Amino acid sequence: MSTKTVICELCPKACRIPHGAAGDCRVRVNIEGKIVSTIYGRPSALHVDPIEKKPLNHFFPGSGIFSIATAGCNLHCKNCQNWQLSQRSGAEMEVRYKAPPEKIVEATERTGCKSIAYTYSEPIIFYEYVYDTAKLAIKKGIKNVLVTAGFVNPSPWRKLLKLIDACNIDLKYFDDSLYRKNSEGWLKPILDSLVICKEMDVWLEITHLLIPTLNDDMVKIRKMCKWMYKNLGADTPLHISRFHPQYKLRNLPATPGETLIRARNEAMDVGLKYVYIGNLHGHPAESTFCPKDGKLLIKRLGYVIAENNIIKGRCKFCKEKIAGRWHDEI
Amino acid sequence: MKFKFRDLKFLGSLLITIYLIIIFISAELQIQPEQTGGYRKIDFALVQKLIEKGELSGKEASFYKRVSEQ
Repeated sequence: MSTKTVICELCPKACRIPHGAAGDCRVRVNIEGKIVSTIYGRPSALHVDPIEKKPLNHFFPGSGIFSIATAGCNLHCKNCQNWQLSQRSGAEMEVRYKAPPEKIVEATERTGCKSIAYTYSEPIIFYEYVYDTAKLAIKKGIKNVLVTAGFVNPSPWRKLLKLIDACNIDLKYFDDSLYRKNSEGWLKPILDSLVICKEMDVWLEITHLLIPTLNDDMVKIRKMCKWMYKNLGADTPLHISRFHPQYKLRNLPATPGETLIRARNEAMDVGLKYVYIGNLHGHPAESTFCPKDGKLLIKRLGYVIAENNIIKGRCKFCKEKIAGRWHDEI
Repeated sequence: MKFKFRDLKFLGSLLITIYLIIIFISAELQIQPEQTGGYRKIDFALVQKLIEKGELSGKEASFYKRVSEQ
């Protein structure tokens, strides 16, 4: 029996795992010198969602997306909204479905979904499961979507992105010390992941949760948007999302609507074309507007599409090209 | 021995260089090791039992790992 220590090279934490222990993600276990993915084919959440919930506003709007998640995460955010799932190991979860990749693809087809989302917790830690499922999905014409924090090493990230059609990456803070303090990660690998995603022409949208007193400083928001503009382009949609007190950050209030609007104005002022406000249902900034003539293109009410004026990827009124992946372009 | 202004300038630039090197190294150290290399203790007997029962997977994650020399 081998009792060798193994180094997991999937994410920047590079966990040095002795026999009988797990990585920081809780789900990758060293058994006799091999890393075992204990949650491969054992999701704890399976759900059909509207794609707007991911959020993805420029990727086949109005379509359904089959969403899966397992236990575990390589970050430990104090404000995690899925902590019952992400901050537990597979063994600690009460619900574990037996769903190998072929069953996920089959269920996606059966439910009429256009794509599969690897989401809720952190798909990077169930990497092999995502990889095998995505490969099968492509054969059936199903799209693959990652909703991730992007805390991954470049080599596995590039390999996985070859199978992925769209990503929503959560850029939590534009500040290394805040990442370390509140999420137990760090900034640089995430910025690298964003750039790689763009380089590989995978459709990318970014979520930035605005947490009162932590990352609601407009100077820093402007700095982040300038970085996005320069490195990812003005066409990359940004979702500025409202924080609700939960998990270990129950002491902070929900983000005031006014702060979200100010942050959106900063982002638009920098030159980003598509800036949305999330978790503030009913606000006009849920909708998509043409960056050229300002007309309403996709009217959203929460996750419902009430109106769509994008035809073949262009504004119906002025014919401006709208960045994204659209139904009638295929 | 008498110090000249030229010597003070040399000493000053030497101290500044050393100071900058220290800042650079400490910044690198901050980024690198203290959050890497960790692991979590688990109830290994339970995990093995669940794998045997098929409730957890025993699939090897062969893509990105390296056996430590230690």
